[in-house]
Amino acid sequence: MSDVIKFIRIPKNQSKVIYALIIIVMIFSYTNPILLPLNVDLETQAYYNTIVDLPAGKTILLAFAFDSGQWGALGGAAIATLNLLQTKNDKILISPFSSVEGGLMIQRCLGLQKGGYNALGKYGVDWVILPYGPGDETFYAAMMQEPNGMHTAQGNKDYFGTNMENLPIMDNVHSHKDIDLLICIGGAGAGHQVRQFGVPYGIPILVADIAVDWAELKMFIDNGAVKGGIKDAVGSAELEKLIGIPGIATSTVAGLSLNHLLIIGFIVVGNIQYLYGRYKKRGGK
Amino acid sequence: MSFVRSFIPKIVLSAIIVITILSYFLGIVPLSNGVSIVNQYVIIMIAFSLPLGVINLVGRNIKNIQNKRQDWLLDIAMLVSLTVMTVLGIFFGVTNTIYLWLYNNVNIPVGAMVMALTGLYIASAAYRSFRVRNLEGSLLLVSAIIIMLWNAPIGAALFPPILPIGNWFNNYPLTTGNRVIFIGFALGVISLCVRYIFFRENITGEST
Repeated sequence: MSDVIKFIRIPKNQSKVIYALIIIVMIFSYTNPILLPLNVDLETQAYYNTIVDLPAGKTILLAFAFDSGQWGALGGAAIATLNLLQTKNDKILISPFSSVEGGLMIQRCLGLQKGGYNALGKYGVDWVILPYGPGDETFYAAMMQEPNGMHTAQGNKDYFGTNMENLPIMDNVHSHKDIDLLICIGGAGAGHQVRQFGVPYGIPILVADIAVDWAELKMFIDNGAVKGGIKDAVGSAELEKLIGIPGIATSTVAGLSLNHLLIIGFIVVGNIQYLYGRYKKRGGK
Repeated sequence: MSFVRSFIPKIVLSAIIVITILSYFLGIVPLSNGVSIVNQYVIIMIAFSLPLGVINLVGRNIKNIQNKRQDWLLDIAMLVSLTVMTVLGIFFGVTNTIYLWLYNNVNIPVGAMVMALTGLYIASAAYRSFRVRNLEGSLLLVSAIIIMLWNAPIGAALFPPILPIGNWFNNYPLTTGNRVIFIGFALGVISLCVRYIFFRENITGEST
């Protein structure tokens, strides 16, 4: 028994060994992806259904409230959502909300969607990019409370500095009354969106968020404040599966499986060592 | 402390809280207009904080470089990156090819890498910390393993009952615990607001 323990024991500079093993597993999982069947969560299905069931011609506010650090978790959800919106005939207002790099992220995702940058239709008619607004929740409040807040909160200009008067899509969009659905990619658990869009004005909300925020998001989905949700890369891969266009999330999830197994392996090895040490201390041989 | 410094801020804060609450629940138009004005002030102040942050960062880094403090070469790299991105963004626009190339090929991989580093630390911490020392530790360990298996497709492939077990964890303990935290947080905010409204909270930093 002691020989087995010694064999599996990770040496003194254990962190380096652990890091090296994770990197090896990561490289292996990306070069030899194990594509396992995905079970679609109810929340992901609800996210998909809400978009698909929305009648044509409605106005969707699509917020990219995430940054480059969350690319691995939410990049797939953003691109998959754009791919899904392409199949519909709605008006899309894309906003970086209060994410400083949201505007750049929007341009990146638009470039990576199926059909390329202009696949959503004609800019200014079918879709538009709104500018960054500082102030988080205060900015959302200004956007929704004002009778013409969708114009004034943005300084009456789009992301590229074009006057909103020259954008036909904005002719019929003035306040919260003109928004039929809010889709938020990122958003730190959906509390802000529920307080500023959902509860006061009854705007249906969909949120894709990282796994750390899932506990909060799940709470809002359960009480009906949020209609559907995407959980991190796994949820993004599920959405890609529903749409039928595998993307970056599907390949990320292949790596996720092996790494989770490796971490569980570390926990098991650590506990065998711990229990064996305790057994020896008590005088066992 | 003078009357102006100690009392006026409390009156302003108290008035803003009362107006905001009444505007939200009663929807009275003049109050809503007042709240809109306050919102605009907040947005303007936050917008000013961005250049303020840049000025502080540049000042601090220049001092570090002048004194050749630890990692001063990294400070130079930071200043160069800041200057390049600012100049490109302001003078050539946010759709400039080089600007977008730098964002897509430098910023995104580096940002994602920093986030991914937490994965390495979590693995190392899991090996060293998740121990069956006592009941609480054992419960934490079992929950962690269940959620990790549930959160990756391989979990269901290896052990199909992990799906209903993981869903139960997700629907009950996780949501319940989070609701408790949220309700506690909300009650805390309400009690703090009540204290602000009745001038019972010190907001000037001065000991009462």
